[in-house]
Amino acid sequence: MPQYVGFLRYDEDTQPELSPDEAQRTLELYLAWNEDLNKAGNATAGGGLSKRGRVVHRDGSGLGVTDGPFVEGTEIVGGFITIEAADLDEAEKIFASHPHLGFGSIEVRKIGEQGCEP
Amino acid sequence: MVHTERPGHLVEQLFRHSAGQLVATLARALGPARIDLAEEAVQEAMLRALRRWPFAGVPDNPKGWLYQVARNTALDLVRHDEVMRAKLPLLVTGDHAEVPAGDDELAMTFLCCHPGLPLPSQVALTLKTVGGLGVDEIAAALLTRPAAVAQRLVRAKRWLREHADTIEVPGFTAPTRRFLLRQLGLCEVQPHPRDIPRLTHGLRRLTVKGPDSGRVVRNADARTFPCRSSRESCGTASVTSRPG
Repeated sequence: MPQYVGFLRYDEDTQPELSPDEAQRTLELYLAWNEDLNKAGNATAGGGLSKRGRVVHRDGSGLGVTDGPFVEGTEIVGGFITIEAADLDEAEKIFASHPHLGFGSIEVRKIGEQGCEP
Repeated sequence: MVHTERPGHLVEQLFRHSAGQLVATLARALGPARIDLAEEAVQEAMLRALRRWPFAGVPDNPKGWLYQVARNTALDLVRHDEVMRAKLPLLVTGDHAEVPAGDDELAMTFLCCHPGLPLPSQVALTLKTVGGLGVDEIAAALLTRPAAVAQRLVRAKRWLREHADTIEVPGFTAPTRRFLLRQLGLCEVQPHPRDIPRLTHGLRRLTVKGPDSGRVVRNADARTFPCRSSRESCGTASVTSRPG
């Protein structure tokens, strides 16, 4: 089955402070989402990303390194999840049930089997 | 090594039960002026667990993991603060993955019930810092608005910053005895049923079995303070027997 990746975006400035109770419920929802999906045969993987990072680039004058990934705006990718799904529609449907949507958006892209697919 | 089976079971009630204890432990090292820093560190640890555990699995000792991350976060925050740098040694002692077993929560409770604070502030601060309840939950329990609770907490912490020196378990003088009873009578605020296990867990941690049949609370220098015995002791019974 093709693989799809969901980039979990969130806006650092608008993150609500979670009480332990809310964090507990959120964690349970996240774990349950993974468990359900794995049981349904849409194997998942993923990870969280650090807040700070660097962007490496090369131009005419040589190698440049800047602090990143902040380009514009405050919405950053905080993590990613890969799932197996039949097509983009199914992937969209699956990610539509993810608890992260309470905190930010999810960008769903296919992991191209032939490189960069349209 | 990580657990992959029934991960939900491993973390059941984890944040609810641990947050207050971790804040109390860190705050005791950092001092009353920086309760906010302890809360920030524990908050960050919970957020990192949320980002990591669903994918990497829940660690063997989830509470130790939280404590380690919270303490490292606190260390980072302290290193960037000139005034706080002197507190560093207090944070770096001991095993990184073991939450110190002690009377940090009791000490924190005494601080939160400082007689210089108005009673509603004492209750709000105790519920927030030791009880691990959020502003909205406290507002619901006290029948007031979240903004009012938030304001109260800010003022209470500012007052402590200016007036309290250390977080310690005081001797059992008459006033502290009253604060202790008040704390043990937390059920006055009608906890939500889902919070009852956490509150009773907290109360159990604050009480130890004494030489007589009653329950006693032991303070730092091992003097004991007997409470009323058996099921009615210190209001615990009315918390546990409330129908869920």
